[in-house]
Amino acid sequence: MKGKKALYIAFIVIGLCFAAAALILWDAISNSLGGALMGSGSGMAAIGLTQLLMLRLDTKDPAQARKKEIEVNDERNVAIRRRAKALSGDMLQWAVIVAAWVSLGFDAPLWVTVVAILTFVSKSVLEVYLVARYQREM
Amino acid sequence: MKNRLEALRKARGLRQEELAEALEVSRQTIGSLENGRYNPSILLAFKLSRYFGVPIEEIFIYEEEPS
Repeated sequence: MKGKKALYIAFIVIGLCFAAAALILWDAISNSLGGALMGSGSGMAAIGLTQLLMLRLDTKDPAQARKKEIEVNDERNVAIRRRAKALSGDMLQWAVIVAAWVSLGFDAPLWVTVVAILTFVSKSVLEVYLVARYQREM
Repeated sequence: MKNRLEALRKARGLRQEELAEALEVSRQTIGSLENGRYNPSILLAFKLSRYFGVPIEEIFIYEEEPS
């Protein structure tokens, strides 16, 4: 609990530092860097703040927190999440290869097609690696 | 896989929520188990067996599919 709280506070502090740096250095840095700093900073601060508030709610209502923990760790819920992630990953992989074909049809720059194919191949390689790893582990 | 979970639970006058709480699973998991939509892990099967004080075979009925 304490570790989580420290992590979320660190998120807020780092996020605010990024956003402040973007504002202070606005004229000295490029627009894209300023935008990236501001975007990532405000995002980190928002995530940290939200998680900190959730943690506070959990501390106030331990029964509700326990219920939430059970829901998260429930074996059926875990199995459902894993199946959904696996299927959506597969669907996304095929969508990427379709996008590569479509990009060829629209005379898109070559790098678009190459990136799509590399993404498809990387996912396939990662999948084979993970299958081999789990075969050894189980 | 068929099971006698609902009958065992009702025989003890328990609600799904109460059984779920005792086994640290969600109420939906108990519902799905009772409907036969979900087969439990071996760990949950043992938990159920210990909770009701009956062997696993008396809760879950495995029938081989005809070949």
